Amino acid sequence: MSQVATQPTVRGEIGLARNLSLFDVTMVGVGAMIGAGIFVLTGIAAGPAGPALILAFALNGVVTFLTAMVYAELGSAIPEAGGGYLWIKQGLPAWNGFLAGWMSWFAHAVAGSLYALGFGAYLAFVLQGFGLAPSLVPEEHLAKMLAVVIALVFIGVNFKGVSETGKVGNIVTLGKILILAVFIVSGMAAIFRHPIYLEKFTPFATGGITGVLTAMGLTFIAFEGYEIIVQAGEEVKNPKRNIPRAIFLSLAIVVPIYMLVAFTALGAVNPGTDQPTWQWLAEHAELGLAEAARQFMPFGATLLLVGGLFSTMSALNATTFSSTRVSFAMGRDRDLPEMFARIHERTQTPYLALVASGGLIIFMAVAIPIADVAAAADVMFLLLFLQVNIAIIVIRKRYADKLDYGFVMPFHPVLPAINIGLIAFLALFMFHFSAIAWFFVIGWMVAGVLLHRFYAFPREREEVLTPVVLHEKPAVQPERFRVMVPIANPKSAQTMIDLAARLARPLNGQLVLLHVGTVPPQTPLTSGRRALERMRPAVDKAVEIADALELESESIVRLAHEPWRAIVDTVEDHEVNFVVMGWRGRTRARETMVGRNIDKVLKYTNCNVLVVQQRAPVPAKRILVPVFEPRSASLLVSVGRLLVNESDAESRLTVFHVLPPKVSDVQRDARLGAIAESLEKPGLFDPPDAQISLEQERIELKSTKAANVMRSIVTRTHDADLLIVGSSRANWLKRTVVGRKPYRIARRSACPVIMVSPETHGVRFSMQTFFQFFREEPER
Amino acid sequence: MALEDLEEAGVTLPRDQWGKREVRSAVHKPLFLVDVALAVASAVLMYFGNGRFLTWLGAVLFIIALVGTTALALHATSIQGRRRARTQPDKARP
Repeated sequence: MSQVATQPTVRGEIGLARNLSLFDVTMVGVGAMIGAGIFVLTGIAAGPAGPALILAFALNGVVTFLTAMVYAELGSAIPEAGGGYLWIKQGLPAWNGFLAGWMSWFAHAVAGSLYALGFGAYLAFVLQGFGLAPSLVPEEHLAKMLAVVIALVFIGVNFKGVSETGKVGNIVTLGKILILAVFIVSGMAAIFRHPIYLEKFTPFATGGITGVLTAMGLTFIAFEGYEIIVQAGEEVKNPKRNIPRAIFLSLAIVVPIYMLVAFTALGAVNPGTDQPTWQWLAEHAELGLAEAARQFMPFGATLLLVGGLFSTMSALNATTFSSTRVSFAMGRDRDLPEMFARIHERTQTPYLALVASGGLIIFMAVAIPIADVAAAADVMFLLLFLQVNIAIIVIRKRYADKLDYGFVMPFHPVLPAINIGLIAFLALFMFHFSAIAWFFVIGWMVAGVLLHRFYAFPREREEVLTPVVLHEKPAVQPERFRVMVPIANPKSAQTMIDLAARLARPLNGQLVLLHVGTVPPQTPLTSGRRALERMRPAVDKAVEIADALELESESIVRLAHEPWRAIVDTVEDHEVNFVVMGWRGRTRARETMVGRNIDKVLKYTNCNVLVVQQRAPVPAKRILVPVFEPRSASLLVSVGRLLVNESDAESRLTVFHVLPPKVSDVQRDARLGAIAESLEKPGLFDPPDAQISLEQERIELKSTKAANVMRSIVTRTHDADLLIVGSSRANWLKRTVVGRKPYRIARRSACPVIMVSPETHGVRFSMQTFFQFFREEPER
Repeated sequence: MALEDLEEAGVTLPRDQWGKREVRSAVHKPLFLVDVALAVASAVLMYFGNGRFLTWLGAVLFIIALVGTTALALHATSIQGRRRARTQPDKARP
């Protein structure tokens, strides 16, 4: 019956012919913009703005021109079919890419609802005009019913794989322009025959600034469409030159047409009463333009209705097609369930994605009024453009000297920043017009974030980024404390697993034994599957060690180009609480603090990490724990208590604090008192009500006064068997100025070292990761 | 997504040219500013003209600003093309 498209087309194997000229591609942009928006929304937007609808169209032209410059720059540099979605993926943190696709799906589907409703209203108007409207159906429900019918028709059309392309598209576009041109010319003739009509434009902004902004927000969707030029980039002759040109030319054609349509619709109509024209147009809502044409245009209503019906149908066809393709692509990329990528054997169309998109179109058309549907689509497109404007700033910063531009935007980043402000303001302002639209938008986005967090990203990690090729786990896996050991060296496996077991046992925890099959960068990860057989003995040996320690364990084998990626992904997938990593005790590269893999794990995971020098004795007799502040003492000492050799009565854990030389005895006692107090509280591995006695736990608290803290600690390591030191994962400034101290101590220590890096608060970690993305090139 | 993805897509410059190109807009900045100022001024005129002469003057000026900005942008694509032809003759044409 069906098949799942799992393999994207291999780039370069199938090339599209570059046969679209500047004229063709400009027509693509003009055709996409002069869709149903101008036919359906002119009447609706006249209500809030009054005659200032002309100004609203002009100002929308300004906002659109600024975003068009962004599209021209990025479209000329990265002329890939993905367009905005691809740039957002490149320029913003990974979840934005998912969200862009998710929002794009909704935006196109809701735009489809708008066009279906527009069609329904136009056809109901025709049927009523000819007395053909069914008497049983109330007038207000007829348009919605027809909207559902036409949506079903185009779901069927798209199922059969019919789409409007090539020269037919040009003819349809020219037809729409011609109808609007006749509308404008006849309207202007009427105005010039009756110059008194110009008085209808006073007062101009009847709704004030608020009205203009509302109309801007409502009609913004009529300016959306030029981005399709970029999506046709692979078929354009000389794309670096013609893509930016076509974008600017299509806007230069469309904006004056819209202003003139508004001018004639507002000026050439004679309502026959004292009612202002804008009110008359607003009363006729989506049929405003057709009613206006009836008054002054030869065969006006008929022509406009034909134009409106064709525009709404072609726009509905296009949006059904695009929303289906977006959801299909997300299914293929495993961002949505794979059923979205199922292709019908006979028609070769993604039928389940089509059913889902069609369902969304019909639901939105039936559920909310047309003005709210328009507002929801507008807000979604505004938010998409907002992301693209942010993406250009990041892409310019990161890749500018590596890309080949056909057009470069001036005044960067000031213009994108201004545009971000304008778009955000406009989007937020739409709340004032339609709170319902915003509720739907927010609901959809929250659903998207949750879907990404709990479904799409974990699947992408497990199946694409660092595929799991083996996962052996206990039959029942309740919520448990998990200690993970990435086993890099089978020789040190015993020590590492033994240490991990000491951490897991007090909390009845479980071990996660991770083996990473490293695949060279230029080799596909799938080729690493053969390595599984080679790794099998090491996997079995690790399980044996864990079994001997009478601890439950699960084994995971993952493939990755770099081990740290597999470690980070496993920490997130399996909600690991503690990671125990081995360390050779030296770094190879100057830019690394501990080692490349350990540095990256500390950077990208938020859980406790224990870095163990390979020769570290476990358990140990004399453990030294330097403490810089009471707050950081608890975890270090908790770990230290688990590593003290209990069978040796002489074993000691020395908590060592270095004070500045000028500290008074009173101050010293206060500081040590605070540390002692913090150590007497239950630690991570203790029951919450545990009473900790320093003496029973063999903890001694020592201090010294010294100007050079590091030297003082390093000297002390000569009398210890094991040094446990806390490592910082603070922000970059703190890490640069003071945070390297623990690493330097670790490197100069006379005894083996264990470094403990505590997890940070989730919100803080998220913020750090977010800002880190904009400071440096992403690695994940 | 990272730089490798862009390289794989074949949209980056050859590696030996990385860092050697100055990314500079070919749009004539003073004229662009004049156009923007004209567009803003025309919008203000349209609003405060209250449907009379100044409103229509604003509308006409707005169209002039739009055409001017478009012309500047189109001209910039030609200049950018010439710059590309100078630095990368084999890539300047498709």
